[in-house]
Amino acid sequence: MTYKSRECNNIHFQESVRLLEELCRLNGVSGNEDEVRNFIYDFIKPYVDDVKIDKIGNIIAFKKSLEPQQPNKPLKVLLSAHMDEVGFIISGFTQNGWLKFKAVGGIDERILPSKKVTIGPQKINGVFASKPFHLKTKEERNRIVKVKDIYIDAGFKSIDEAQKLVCLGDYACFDSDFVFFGQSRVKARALDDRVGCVCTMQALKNRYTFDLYGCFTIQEEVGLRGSQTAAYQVAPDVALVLEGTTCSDVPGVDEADFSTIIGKGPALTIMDKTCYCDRKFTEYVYDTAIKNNIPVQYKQTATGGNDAGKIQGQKYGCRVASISVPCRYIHSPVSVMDLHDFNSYILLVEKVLERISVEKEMSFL
Amino acid sequence: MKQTLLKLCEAFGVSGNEEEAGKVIIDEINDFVDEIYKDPLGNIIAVKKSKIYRADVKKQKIMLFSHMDEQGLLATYIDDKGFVKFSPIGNFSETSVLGARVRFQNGVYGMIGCESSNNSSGNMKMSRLFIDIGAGCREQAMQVIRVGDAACFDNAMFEMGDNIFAKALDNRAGCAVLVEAARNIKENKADVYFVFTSQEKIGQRGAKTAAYYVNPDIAIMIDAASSNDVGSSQSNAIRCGKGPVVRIKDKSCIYHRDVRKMIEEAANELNITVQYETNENEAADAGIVCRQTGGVPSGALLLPVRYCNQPIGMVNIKDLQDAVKIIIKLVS
Repeated sequence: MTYKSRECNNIHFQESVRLLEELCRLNGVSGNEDEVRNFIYDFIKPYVDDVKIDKIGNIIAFKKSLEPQQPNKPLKVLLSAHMDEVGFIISGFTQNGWLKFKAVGGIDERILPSKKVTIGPQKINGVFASKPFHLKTKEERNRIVKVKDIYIDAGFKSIDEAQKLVCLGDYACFDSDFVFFGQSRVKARALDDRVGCVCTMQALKNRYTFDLYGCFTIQEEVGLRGSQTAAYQVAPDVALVLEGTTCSDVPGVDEADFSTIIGKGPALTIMDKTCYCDRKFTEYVYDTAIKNNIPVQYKQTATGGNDAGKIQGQKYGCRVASISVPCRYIHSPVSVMDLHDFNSYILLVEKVLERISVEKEMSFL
Repeated sequence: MKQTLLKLCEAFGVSGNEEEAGKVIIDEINDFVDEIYKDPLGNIIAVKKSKIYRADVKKQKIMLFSHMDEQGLLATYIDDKGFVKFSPIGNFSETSVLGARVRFQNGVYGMIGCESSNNSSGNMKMSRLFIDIGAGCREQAMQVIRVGDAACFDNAMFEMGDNIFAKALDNRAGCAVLVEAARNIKENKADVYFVFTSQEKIGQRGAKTAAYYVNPDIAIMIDAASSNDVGSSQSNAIRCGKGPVVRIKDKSCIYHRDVRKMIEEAANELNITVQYETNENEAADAGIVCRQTGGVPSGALLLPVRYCNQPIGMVNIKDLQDAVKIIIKLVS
C-alpha cells in the first residue's frame, strides 16, 4: 500500500520517506551499526567535502562554509543523530537449541512475548518463547516474565544445529515491516533514531555560511557513548540533536503525562535527565517554527535522555537544542509516527540552518 | 558581607536559567578582577592575575568555584483549570515544598498546592503537586506563563543575631564568599580564577566545561554543607556557627590530601576552627572538576547551611566571614 498525502507530496519529502523506509529495513543494534553506517556513508559522500569514520565507528561529515561570517573563525554547527537502535544480543544456548539473549538498550520485557526477530548477519528468523499461559501457576501469571525466562526459538533442535548458524555475540533485531496506515501514519521499528539520520542526511545536501558537521553516532541507546568522542573531535559552537522521542497520548494516560502529542509537530526538549538545553537557542528554534508556520511543540516531561547532554559538556561546551519526532510505542517493533510531523521536522531543521546562515547576529549567542 | 549575600540570594538563578544571578555576580566583582568570561553553558569565569609572581617560576592557576544555580521548578504542563504542573529541579521532597511560595522569572507568583484527595504524607507524590498562580483557566494562565518557564522559591529574609534566613543559600552563600574574596585578595601569588558554575543541581554540568577552560593546577570548591544541628543530633553533626567545613570525601570525590592541608594550615594560622565532613550521599562539582584535562587536585571548603533542600535556609554569617579569611590567606 502506498501513501498519498496532499501536504507531503513534494519530491524532496518523498525521498526522505524512501530513505527512512530503507534505513528502517537495516539492522543496527547498538554495537553493530555497520549496515546503517555503510548506507549513510554511501549516501552522503557525494554531497559533503569530507567524511570519515572515527576510531569507534561514528561518521563525521564536514561541509565547509560559504564565505564565512566571521573571517577568522566561521561558526561550527553540529547536527547529530544516532545510528543505533535497541535490540538483543545472543548470550548462550541451551542443550535443546534454544537461544538465550540479553537486551541491548532499554526494552520493556512485557512487550517481548509473541514478537519476531532476525538474528545475525544471515538474518535467521526467530520468535520469543516462554512458558505458555495455561501452564503457569497463579503466582507466575501475575508476574512479569523476566528476560532470563524468555528464549528465542529459531527452529533449532539441538545446540549443535544452533551453533552451526548462530554465534555467541550475534545480534538479534526486532523483525517488523515499515507500514503506512491511517491517513498519514507509519509503523516501523527504529524510528528512534532513523528519523534523525534522514534529517541529517538531507541537511548535508545544502551549504551555509558556517561550517556544518553531520555526526551519525554509535551506541546512544546503551549510554550515549559515540556522541562524546564525536563532539570532542568536532568541538562545535552550536549543536542540534535530532531524535525520536516518547509520545504517550494514548488512552488511560493523564494529559499532563502525554510528553508529546502525535500530529502536533516536532517536539523541543527543554530539560531531560541528561541535559538542560540552551534556553535561548531552543526559543530561537521555536520562534523559527512559528515564523514559518511549521507546527511545533515543547516536550512536556523531563524524563528520558539523549546525546544532547554529552555534546553540551565536551571541551569548552556548546549551545545545544534538541528536536524530536513524537514516536508512540518507542523502543518497540511497532513505533508509530505521523508523516506530517516528520515533514515538519525536516523542514524546521532546514529553516533553522537557513536562518543561522543568513542572520548577521544571532539572538542566542 | 551581609548585603552581598542578600543581593545574591534574592536574584533568580534556577538551574539552566542563571542569567540574572550571573549578572548580579558580574556587577559585584567587575571592579576587582582582570577579566570575565561567560562560557556557552553560562558559567562565569573571572580571573585575578598575580602581580607578584616571579618570572623564573611557572605561574600556577588556582580555581575557586561555587555553583550559582538554585533549586526550583520547571513548568511542564498547564491544565484547563489554569493549574501548572511541574518537574522538580533539585533534590527536595514533596512534603517540604507543599504550600511554598514560588516566583517565576518574569515576576509571576504562585504557591504549591496538592490534589486534595488523601493528603497524608505517605501518599504525597511530586506528580500530584502543582503550582497555583491564581489563574481561572488555561487561557488566563498562558497569558503570563509558558511551558518551560522556571520558578524559584520566594521568601523574604529574616535574621537573628548572626543567623540569617534566606532562599537559595545553597549556594549563594558560597558565591558570596567568592565575591568577598575577590574584593579583598590583594597579593595573590598565583592566578586566581573565580568560577561561578551553572547547572550543578541537575548533574554538575557547568563545572565540566568551566574546568576544561581554566585547566587549573589546584581547585577548591566553595559550596553549602547540609548542617544537621536540629533536634537531637549526633556529636559529629555539622553545626551552623561552628566554622567552615572541610570535606574529606563525598560520593563523587576523595579530596586531595595536600589541598586539604593547605586549607587546614591557613585556618590554623588564623585561629579559625573548622569542622570536618564525610558525606556518602552527595555528588558535587568537585567530582567533575578533579577529572578534567589531566586531573586536578581538588579540595572543598563548605559553609554550613541549615535546611539546604527546603524553600528557606539558614546560615551563620560568621562562618562565611571565616571562610573568606581562610581563602585570602591561602592564596596570598
